[in-house]
Amino acid sequence: MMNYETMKTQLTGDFRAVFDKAQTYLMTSQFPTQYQDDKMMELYDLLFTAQTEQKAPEKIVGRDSAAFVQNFFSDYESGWKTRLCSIADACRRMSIVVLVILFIDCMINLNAGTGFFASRTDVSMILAGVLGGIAFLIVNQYILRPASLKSRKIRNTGWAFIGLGLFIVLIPVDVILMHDVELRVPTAALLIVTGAYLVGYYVIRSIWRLKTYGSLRDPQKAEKPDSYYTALPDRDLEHICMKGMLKRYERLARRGKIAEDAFLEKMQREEKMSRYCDYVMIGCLLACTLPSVVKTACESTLFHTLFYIAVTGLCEFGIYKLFSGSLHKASAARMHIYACCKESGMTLPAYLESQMNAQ
Amino acid sequence: MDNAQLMKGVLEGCVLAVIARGETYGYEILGILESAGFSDLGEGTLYPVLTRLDKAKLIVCRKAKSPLGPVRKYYSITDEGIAQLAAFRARYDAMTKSVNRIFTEGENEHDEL
Repeated sequence: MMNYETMKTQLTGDFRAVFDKAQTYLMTSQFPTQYQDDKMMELYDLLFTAQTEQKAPEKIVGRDSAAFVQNFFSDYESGWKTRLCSIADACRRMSIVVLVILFIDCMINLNAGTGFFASRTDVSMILAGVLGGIAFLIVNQYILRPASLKSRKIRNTGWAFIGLGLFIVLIPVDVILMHDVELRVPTAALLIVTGAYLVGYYVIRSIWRLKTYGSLRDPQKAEKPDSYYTALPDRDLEHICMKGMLKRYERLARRGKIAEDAFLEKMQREEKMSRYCDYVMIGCLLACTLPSVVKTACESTLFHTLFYIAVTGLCEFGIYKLFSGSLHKASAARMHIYACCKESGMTLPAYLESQMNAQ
Repeated sequence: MDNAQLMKGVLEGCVLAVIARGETYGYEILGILESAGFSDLGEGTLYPVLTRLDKAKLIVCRKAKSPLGPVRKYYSITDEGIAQLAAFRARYDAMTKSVNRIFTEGENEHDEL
């Protein structure tokens, strides 16, 4: 999804308020992501152009911003094909969650000594999740959406918190309601069904994309990397990095611990160190996992061991990606700042200050 | 009858006529229509019209970077759109003639009385 928050930072006053309202409207609607991105991009262009040309917001939006937002998104028509696609996509997302739950269940059963084919999973909680999700969608559609459109005081973040609060309330209600219900099904069968669905979904989607676009990738998504929007978060990230570095320099300089011309070298050294830390983190993850793999290999069959390795590997890879993704992005932003600083011939603190003032 | 009701019928044709002048984008169309006297267009009515015309293949849309930075949708008319615009003009001319005739006859009768 596009970074709407960053787009919003480029808008001011009433233009920003309209964009905010549109964002809230999308949050409480169930439009496909592609449609949302397309429309928000169009809205951003409209508002940004009007703002640059110093046009009065009423000329663009009219007197009623809620009516504007509703009209703006009123062209969405969901035919049976769109509905089918969105249901299939919702099932895909759910299948992935179910698959993760099943893997965890399998791990517990295997460790308890139950065989893979003999283990059974209680799906009542999955069912509770689905029912809770449906309840959430209904409340969203009929209560939150109309209220958010009328509201003038609460902004997008406020509505996001209200939605989140409602979701958090629904989870314990779900759990309490489904407490006495138990629906045990064979884990292996459920694994095969969800796995088969996911494989089927991706195969059909690939065939359709090949036929429609002549490529496995969605060309509408491919237009983003080159676009103006992907550059925005990096600019934000660089700004945050610069602010942090400048603060750090001021703190060190106050204590007399660093000379202005030595700051760049110090930062680059630290960057190098953080890369080593990355390797250390991978090493630690592997070292922590290895004994449990050896233990499983000694106590279980080859199939169980391989299964254990696959699941643990997948989980650890996920954790690593989750943490390292943003760290790598920040590191790339810092490296870009150092390179620009070197090119400018200034000291790092002077360069940071000049850039911050320019912004 | 309010202005919005009256505008609904002719807006599609007018938007098509603006796009027929050359490749353009939403903000520009809005400005042209506004300067022509369509003052109530602010409340987002233009964009669903553009989508309808696009879906009916009367216009085509391409995305390109605008001079200001953001990606912008540029619209241009298709052959089908040109034919539809000509048909709209013929229908609109016939209708305005009929409406004018009724108004003139009404005024004449009023004068005779």
